[in-house]
Amino acid sequence: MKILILILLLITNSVYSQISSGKIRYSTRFNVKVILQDTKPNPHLKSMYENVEAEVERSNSFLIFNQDSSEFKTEPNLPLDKNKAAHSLAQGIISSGIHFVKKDEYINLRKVSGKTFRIKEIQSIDWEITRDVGMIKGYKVYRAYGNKYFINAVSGNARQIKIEAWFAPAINFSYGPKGYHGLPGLILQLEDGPITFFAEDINLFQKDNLNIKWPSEGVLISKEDYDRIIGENLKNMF
Amino acid sequence: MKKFLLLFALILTCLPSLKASELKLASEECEDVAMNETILWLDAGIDPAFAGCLGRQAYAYCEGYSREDMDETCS
Repeated sequence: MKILILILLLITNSVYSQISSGKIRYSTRFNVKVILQDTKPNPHLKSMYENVEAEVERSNSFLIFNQDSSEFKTEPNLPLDKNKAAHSLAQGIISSGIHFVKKDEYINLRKVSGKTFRIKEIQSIDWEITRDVGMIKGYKVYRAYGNKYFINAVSGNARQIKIEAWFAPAINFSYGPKGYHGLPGLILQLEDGPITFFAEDINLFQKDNLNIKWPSEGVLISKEDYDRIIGENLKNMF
Repeated sequence: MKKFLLLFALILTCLPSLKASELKLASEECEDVAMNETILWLDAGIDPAFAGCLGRQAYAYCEGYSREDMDETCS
């Protein structure tokens, strides 16, 4: 019996080790209560929040990866008639452009007011891997926690958000949704503040047939400079 | 009758400035609503460009803009 289990493990490992690329579809949930917390919501904005929640939940996001890099983006869907503004907001809230990760490089490609930016992100998260175990779509997953630190571009206050990730060591690629990376396995579920990503379809390929074109267009800018420029514009907006 | 006419004239004279003052107050209030909304969403880690869009939406709601005008704020 022991030998049989050993053989099965060897076969499984051998199959997984042959994976050279993959495509994951994630669904998303948006919890506006995380943002509002104890704040009394403006009654005028209640319907907007509901519309944004509905649009987020209608959207799908895709992560494609190969031996070299990964690309994550949200699939544009047709907005509901009444939700045009909420639709564009939802797309931005879920993914904020396209996220490319290659080893230690992380670029967020996005358009703001018709201008393309290649934002060089520095997202080194010190993950804390726990012993919590679960199953997602037939894969054994482990829970990890990390913290994202940033400065509020308008108030200037330092902020911190706790990130929770469930990753599958059997899929030996350290990528995930929205540019999150650095775990010893693919992230199949991720909670990032008000947004949670859930892996729905997992397609793994033994041939490296998914090409990722590393972005070269647009203005290259650091995340700090991007936040500062947009923050200055926001302060003068009203 | 003279008193009534005087009062009526006074109301007519003051009405435009009252309206202007109310408008100014409403606008300032809406600016605060918009800025608070923007900061709230930035604190949640939402990208600044989209947080700003939510702030503009809040401003438009507060000012009572039409649905079409509001759609323009985030397009």
